[in-house]
Amino acid sequence: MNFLLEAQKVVKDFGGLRAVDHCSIGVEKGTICGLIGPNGAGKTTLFDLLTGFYKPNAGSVYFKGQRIDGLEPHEICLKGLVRTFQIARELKNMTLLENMLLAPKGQLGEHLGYAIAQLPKVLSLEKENLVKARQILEIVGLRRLESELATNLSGGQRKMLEVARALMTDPEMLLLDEPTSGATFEETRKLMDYIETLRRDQGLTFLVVEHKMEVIMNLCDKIFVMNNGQKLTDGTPREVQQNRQVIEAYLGA
Amino acid sequence: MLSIATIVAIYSILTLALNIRWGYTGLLDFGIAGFFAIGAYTSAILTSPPSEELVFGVRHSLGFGVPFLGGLLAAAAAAAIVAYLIGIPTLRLRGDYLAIMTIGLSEIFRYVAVNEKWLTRGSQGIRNLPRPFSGYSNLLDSLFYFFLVLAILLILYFISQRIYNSPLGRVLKGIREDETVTEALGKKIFKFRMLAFVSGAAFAGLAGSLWAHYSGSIMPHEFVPDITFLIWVSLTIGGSGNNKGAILGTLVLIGILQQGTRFLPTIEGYTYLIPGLRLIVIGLLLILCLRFRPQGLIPEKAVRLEKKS
Repeated sequence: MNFLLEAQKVVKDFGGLRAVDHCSIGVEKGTICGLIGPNGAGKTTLFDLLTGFYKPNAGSVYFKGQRIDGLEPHEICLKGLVRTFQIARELKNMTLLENMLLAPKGQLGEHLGYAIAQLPKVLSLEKENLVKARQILEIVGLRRLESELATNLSGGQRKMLEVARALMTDPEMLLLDEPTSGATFEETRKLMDYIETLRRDQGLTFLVVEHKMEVIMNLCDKIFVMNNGQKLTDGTPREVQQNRQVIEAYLGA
Repeated sequence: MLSIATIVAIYSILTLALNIRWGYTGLLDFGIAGFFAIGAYTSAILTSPPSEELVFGVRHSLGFGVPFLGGLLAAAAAAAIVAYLIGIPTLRLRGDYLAIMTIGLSEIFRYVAVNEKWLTRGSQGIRNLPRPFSGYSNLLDSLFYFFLVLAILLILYFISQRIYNSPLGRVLKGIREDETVTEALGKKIFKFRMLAFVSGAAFAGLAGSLWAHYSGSIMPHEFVPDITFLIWVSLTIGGSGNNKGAILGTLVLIGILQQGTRFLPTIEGYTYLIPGLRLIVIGLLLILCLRFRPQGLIPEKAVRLEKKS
């Protein structure tokens, strides 16, 4: 099977605690996959392993067929795999637009010489990014707040900004860690529609951690269930819902 | 007045240096005085005429008679190179650890200047440094020198502003706000921290050279960490993250409080009253500022993107 993102038997230990235990998942290109499991199951740690924030103690991670475990987070981002954080990490004392414009890759103006000289090339790239940033902000409903400092946003708006900012890096695949936590019903709907649209129109691939079952069950093509650091099972939303082990893990029965 | 203006301008360069490091990037850096010293000594050693005298029984045989401009550029380069070498191990440290490292290193530089007499003439200091406009009368000399310092300050201000408004400045601010996020967005944090650290050092090195040739002589005890902290207070009062604020803060603190009060008449019998009060007033000002205007006199401004497009 040809996966866009694949983890093979990854292991992560914290002291004596095994947070992720020989976990293997594979995400096909153009799909929306869910990652669920009770609190402490290791979902966020798995995200950290996939994006280079932690190095696995064993196992390997492949993206587009290349091995990426051991790479630095920024290198993984440049390869087109970008993540968001469970607790929104907006850059507080920067405006929404600044938050957005930080993200694009390959900005010439990040080099000292170009920054000081402000060549037309830098300015035109900046303009392009600005247009793109506004389009995305419009879609997630934050356009009118573009000049506000990010610290003034509500919880749900922060999560929206987080996803919007990740999109500015021009990714092939997004790992979203609870993108709708703290979001209103309306915001959640909007984000779900947007994820669908991005998959359909741009062929983006998603792996989403989410506790809201209605989101996961309606959005995902395939769901991975984790418990105690291990993958319990995977399958379509329907299969997972009917799986005995999953019900036991959630209800503790 | 002219001498105060010159001193304020030189210190403003230091404040701009700290602003790049702390105001933009959030590097908790207490080592500005060290890079100031490196700049001053580099320039002093290079521009002094060759000498062969005995100082404290040690032969002081350095001095290259390099012209002023050479000393100035070498000062910036030397400070930047030292910063780069120091940066390799220390810039991986965060927050307060970096603060301890930098203040320690700045003291080490000072003790090197005290002890390596062959190089720096120890605590006697290096004297009779050439002034670039010494051919003119005293007044013109001071005036020209002030304009030179002012011109350099303006150039550096311009560069700082350009950086602040550029994508580079945005990354630096991103690092200040949240390193992890900036890393997750594909920026190589270490490289940018290094860039801020080295540019700050180059600025401070230039200031050091300007200081050396302004005062005509330098001694190790001029480069105590007090300078670093005065610069910190200047930046905090003026407005961290804002270059205009940095200069205004320096003007208020160094210009009015530190230098301006020199002209107050000494009170008979209380010789140390005014210097003592000066520190108290500075402390009080800092406390008031942090309580009532923590963002500083001129707060940081969000970058206006419209103007550019």
